[in-house]
Amino acid sequence: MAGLTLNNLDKFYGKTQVLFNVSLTIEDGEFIVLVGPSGCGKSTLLRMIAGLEDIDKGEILLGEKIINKLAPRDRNVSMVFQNYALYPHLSVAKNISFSLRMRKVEKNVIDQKVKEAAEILGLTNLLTRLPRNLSGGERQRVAMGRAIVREPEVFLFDEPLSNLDAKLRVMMRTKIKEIHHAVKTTTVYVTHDQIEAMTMADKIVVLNEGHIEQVGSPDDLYDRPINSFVASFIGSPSMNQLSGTVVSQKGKKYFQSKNNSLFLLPENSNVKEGQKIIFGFRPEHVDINSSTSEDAIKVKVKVDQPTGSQSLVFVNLGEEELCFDVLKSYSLKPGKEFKMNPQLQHIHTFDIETGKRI
Amino acid sequence: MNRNQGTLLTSIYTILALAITMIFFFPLWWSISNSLRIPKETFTVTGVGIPWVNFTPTLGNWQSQLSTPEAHRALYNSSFIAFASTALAIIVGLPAAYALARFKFYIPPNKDITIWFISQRVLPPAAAVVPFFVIFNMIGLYDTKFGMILVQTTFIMPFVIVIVRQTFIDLPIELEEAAMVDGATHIGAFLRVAVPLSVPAIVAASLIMFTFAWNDYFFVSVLMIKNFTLPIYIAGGVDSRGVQFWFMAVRTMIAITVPLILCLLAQRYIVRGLTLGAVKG
Repeated sequence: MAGLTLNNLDKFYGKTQVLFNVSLTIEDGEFIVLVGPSGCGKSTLLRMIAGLEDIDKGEILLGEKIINKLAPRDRNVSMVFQNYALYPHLSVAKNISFSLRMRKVEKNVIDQKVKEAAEILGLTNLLTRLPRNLSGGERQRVAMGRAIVREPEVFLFDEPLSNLDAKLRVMMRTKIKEIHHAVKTTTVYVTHDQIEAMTMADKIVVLNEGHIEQVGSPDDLYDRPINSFVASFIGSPSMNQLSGTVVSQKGKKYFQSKNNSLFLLPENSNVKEGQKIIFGFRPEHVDINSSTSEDAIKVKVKVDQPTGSQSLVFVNLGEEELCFDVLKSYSLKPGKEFKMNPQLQHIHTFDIETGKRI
Repeated sequence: MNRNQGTLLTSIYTILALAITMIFFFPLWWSISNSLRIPKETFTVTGVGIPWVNFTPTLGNWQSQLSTPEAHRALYNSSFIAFASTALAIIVGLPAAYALARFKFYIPPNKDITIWFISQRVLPPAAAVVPFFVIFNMIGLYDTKFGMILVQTTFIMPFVIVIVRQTFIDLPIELEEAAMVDGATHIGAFLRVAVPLSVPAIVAASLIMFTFAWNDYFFVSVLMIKNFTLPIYIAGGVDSRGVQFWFMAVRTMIAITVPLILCLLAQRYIVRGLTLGAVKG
């Protein structure tokens, strides 16, 4: 087991650059998630670690060793593919033991290891079946069995759960984390689902168009997003983001939205008067009909979406839409008017030009 | 009313199909019939030549032909050359097909290389036969089975390359990538994953290649003397006494047996749906 270091990686497809100077340090035993919208380069980065894509510039180190030129088979990594990539002409047992047979491990050791992997993943009764006779979830587990049986230095997962239904996905997330706790192997996990990222990662890397936007723990990314992209990408439903200007009134700083609503800004905010900013707050960080606030803004409910104990309430602020995640007990139904103000300690401000946090 | 019309239409189509089949099948039938008749009855038989109904069948032709050493030699040479050529074409052609499917060539580009292979097949044999004759004489390959194998392989290899290349392209590359991450070399992934999953296409291409090598008359007639094959042997039924239809019929029947057996055996290997289940969906 070892840590991974990525130094200044560039990647080109023909003339198009898809990764720009990507650098990252992954500690030994860490579960790191690469997340980002489609096309951001996360799968490409994973494949470069695996050795399935060439590196145009920069280095990848496994422990202390530079592995740029090593073939996939020499890198001691194992990979779970998005569409499983099970060998269709081989049984489950032969699929799982493929890598051990490549390394000419003794037969009784192979049988033992396959048995252990099958037990961990609940595949003991399926060992003689062919992939075409397995369900999606079963195939996924075989793919994982194939990866864990080898005890590699790094696990690579390329969106392994995106083809499963919601219930299976939750189950498999837990399973993957369980295995990670048991074997403590460094894991790099790629997904476009930020909920998966938030629930599974020790550390999240947010990628966008070939650039790393932010690296941090799930809490870091949620509470202190470094720019407006990360702020809107992490968190579901997304952070409310309004564009407007900073104004001064009665000695206090306010954010003036496009429809001239005034939002009180915290005292320690670094914004300057007249500055054009993006004003952000998460749907759950809002006070409803608070009697203590004189700066509350009146809005009318457009649509509400009950989600069990909470309700997502959508309102219009001029031409822009805001979303609030509130207790159902507030009974905010369409047409009802109420007052809201974002909680001061949970306000985020970003520069309108660069998107960076202020 | 509609269902009756449908049944009537189906019946008409079936009868039509049967009739056309019988017309196309007739020359083969005539050969079988001829092989069982005494020479005198070649043109004098009545009806469509059904044994026991229109004439008395005899095995005399078969007995005489099958006992000649020439028949054995022709059968042996044809089989040896066709099998060996097919095998060599596969050994050389499969890696070529894989390379064209998986690797990107720049000078010349993949498309051009593939078309160049196809052009080998399009080339009129007559254009190539004189150079082959001259060169074979120079290096002592004239009238050898080995030389003929080289010639046949040259002209049948495009089949395996073009057919199997497309099959390789259609295989999801993740399977080979998974094999390489699992510890196989690229060649290992080719042999353990790509080839086993392409067996139906390889078998189909092999059948086609075998048949072409088996049927070749042109090159054998120019480049072989002692080591003749079945097509030459069949044509040898024409001599100064006239066309010996009865012997030619028997020889033709002999020539059909080997490809026929191969086709029947191969049916079992052309199994659909081998790759179902490997990849999601």
